[in-house]
Amino acid sequence: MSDEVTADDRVVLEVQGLGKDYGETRAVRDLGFRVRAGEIYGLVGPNGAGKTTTLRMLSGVMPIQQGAVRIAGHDLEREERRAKRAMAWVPEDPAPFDSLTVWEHLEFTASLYKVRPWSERAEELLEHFSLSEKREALGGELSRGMRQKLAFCCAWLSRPRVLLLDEPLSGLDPRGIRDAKQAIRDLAADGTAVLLSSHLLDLIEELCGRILILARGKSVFQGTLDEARRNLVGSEQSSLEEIFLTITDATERGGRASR
Amino acid sequence: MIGEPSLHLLSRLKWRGMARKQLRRMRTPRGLMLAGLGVLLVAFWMFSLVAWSFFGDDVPISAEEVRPLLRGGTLGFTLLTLVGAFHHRGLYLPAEEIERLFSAPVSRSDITRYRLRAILARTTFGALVLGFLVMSHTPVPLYGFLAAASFVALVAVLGQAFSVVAGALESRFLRRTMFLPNLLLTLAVLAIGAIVFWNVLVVARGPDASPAFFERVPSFETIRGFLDQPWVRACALPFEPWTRAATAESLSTFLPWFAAACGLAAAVYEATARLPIDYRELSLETSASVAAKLRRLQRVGGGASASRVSARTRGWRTPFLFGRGSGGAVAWRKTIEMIRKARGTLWISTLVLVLIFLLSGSLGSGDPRQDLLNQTLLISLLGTVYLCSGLRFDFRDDLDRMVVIKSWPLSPRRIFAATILPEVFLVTGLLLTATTVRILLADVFHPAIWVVLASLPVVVFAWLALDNAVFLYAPVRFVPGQEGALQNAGRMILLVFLRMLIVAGLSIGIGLLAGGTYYAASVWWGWSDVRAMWGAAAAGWLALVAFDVLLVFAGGQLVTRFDVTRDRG
Repeated sequence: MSDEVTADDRVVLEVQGLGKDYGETRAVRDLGFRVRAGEIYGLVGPNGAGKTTTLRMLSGVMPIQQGAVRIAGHDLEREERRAKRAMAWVPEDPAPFDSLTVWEHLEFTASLYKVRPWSERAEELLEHFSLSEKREALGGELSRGMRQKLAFCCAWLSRPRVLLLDEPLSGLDPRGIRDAKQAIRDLAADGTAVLLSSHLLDLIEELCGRILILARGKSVFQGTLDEARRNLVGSEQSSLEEIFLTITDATERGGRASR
Repeated sequence: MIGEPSLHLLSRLKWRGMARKQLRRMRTPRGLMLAGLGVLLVAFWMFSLVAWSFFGDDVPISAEEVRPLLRGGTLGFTLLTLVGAFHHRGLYLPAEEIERLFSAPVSRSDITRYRLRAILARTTFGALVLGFLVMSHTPVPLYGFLAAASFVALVAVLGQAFSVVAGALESRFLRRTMFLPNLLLTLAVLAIGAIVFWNVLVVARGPDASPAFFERVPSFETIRGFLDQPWVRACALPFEPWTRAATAESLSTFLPWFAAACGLAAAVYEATARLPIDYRELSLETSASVAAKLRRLQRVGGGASASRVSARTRGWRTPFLFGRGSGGAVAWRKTIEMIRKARGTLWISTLVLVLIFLLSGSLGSGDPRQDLLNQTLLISLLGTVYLCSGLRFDFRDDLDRMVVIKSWPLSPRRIFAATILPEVFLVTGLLLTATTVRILLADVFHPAIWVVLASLPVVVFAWLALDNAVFLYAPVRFVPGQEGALQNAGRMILLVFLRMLIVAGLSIGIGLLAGGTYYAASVWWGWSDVRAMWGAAAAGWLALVAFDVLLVFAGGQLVTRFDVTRDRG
């Protein structure tokens, strides 16, 4: 269970000692990991494990209480704007602007992230995510799946060096799921580091090279799936679901025992 | 251009988007007509404000007379805004903006500026209203209008600054006693209210001040005298440029003061944007809580039914007051809701009843028996109208559940009646208590009060059933930030007219029936006058009951025809 990435090895997302308390509750504890350019890194854990809080801190939506985050070499607290310019974030339930058209969302995002020229890239993304026909539709008129696709288009537009995805396949139909998976792979192939949080273990297993399992705000495993199989379950054939249940059950029992 | 260009672009895109949506809504003749009615309503309201300001009463216009009032007004307005601002700690951003902007490469100062611009745009309407109200009381109306409007803008910015600063202080020092600042502020407001009340209504009136001060209205001179005290002037000193600009009598006096006022406002705006406070966490909390509140308002509308469930009432067991049948179960559901939201129910009921009770005390014709009858009538009628619109434990909080309600295994008529029955009982009970207290406080009694008391449940049922029938016919709800506000305002006028027509028709019908009964009883059947009056009252009562039955049938039809697929956004 080791983080094999060394400090000099194309690391674009570096997290050290990340922690967050909500009053008496410790939501995230001493979390540390690194993600390389072009890598898809999975973040899994049961409900309330601290995944969304972690992603919100990494995206800058929430201030960092303890620890440090570096994005593309920029410290998220001290060089906030530079760090954020290199990153894109797709929350679990993206809310578009009700009165803006799909195209205007892209126009605004291009302006926000200083993407120039942007329209050709925007056309490509709309085409890729099957949103071309919805170009003039208002945000408030989009279905759940289309809202998700629009969020992908906005996130992809700036060719971010780090992409944070929270439950990215929610609300997508089978074709949308296929397109989204391919788009994530393509983006990673272009050099973007993707941090993907999901309850869909099949998705994590299919896309991610390395995973981090969070339970009760703590990292309980970091490494490749093979390492997890060898070290935790003892069976080379175990699925991520079996690994996940073994680890989280053990943590849950430990938590109850310590209480 | 000051600030982040992309946020200016966002503002422009949002304005364009809103205009586009409004135009889309006006594409159909119906949308156009409703929007026209809405514009008429707003224009009429604005015109009535201006007309009332200029012709309504005898108003002072000398600068010396107005200045103390304006100082008091600026202080009161600021205090109210700051109290309101305490409910939004940090910087509120709507759901579609908060995560997007906080994760974007823009500075927090720029986000604050963007938000302040949105707040200023929202206060335009309030600025116009206050400007119209103030302008007729100042020596030069235009100066009064400009000063008042710019003051509204300043206070809006101040409110935001206060939210950010107070939220930061609270989260740093008072994390475990979040209620404390609210409590202190409420106590401060109450204390100031008590001082004002004591000074204006008791002390300033001298030794002859009567305990029956509720019936007294303080004179203009008394209020002005109170507001002209040195401590009021000292407190209002920061707002002196606005007071002076509003009361300027010439352009040469107005311009320097107005320039000072605008300069101060700009400084407060920029200082707010540059506050060295990281409000992200508080903003996330505030935005989530506002979003939850808006969702609740959209789901259940306003009134007590939109209030939160009290933690203390969760474990209480609610009996089946209306039987164990399916109709009884429907009514039980509503009874539980009333009890679980007891805090909202009690607060609204008490407020309405106290105000009406006090208002009823002002009725006096010299005949104590007639006064008592008038008072019970006033309590019953106003109480019915205001309690029914304030509580709303009926179909108005069931809009999103209609698809399930329509599938329930009982007739739509019974669904309709059972849904409104608990609220009928609650309102009737509250009004019976209020009228009984009023009767017990009086030394006299009027026999016609029996008719008022007997009519209460049927009148309450009729009003509530009519309210619900109209709502089911055209479900319109006002929610902050709602789209199509113009169309909704227009629709509201039509519905108010419809309800007024029905009530007028019913009143005429009952009046004719009661009058006819009285005539027939006294002239044809030879009954005594008193007996004929009772006969007329009984006929009227029966007619009301018949109307109630008719409304239940109509309500059942409307439940059946309710289109659950229609978008009511």
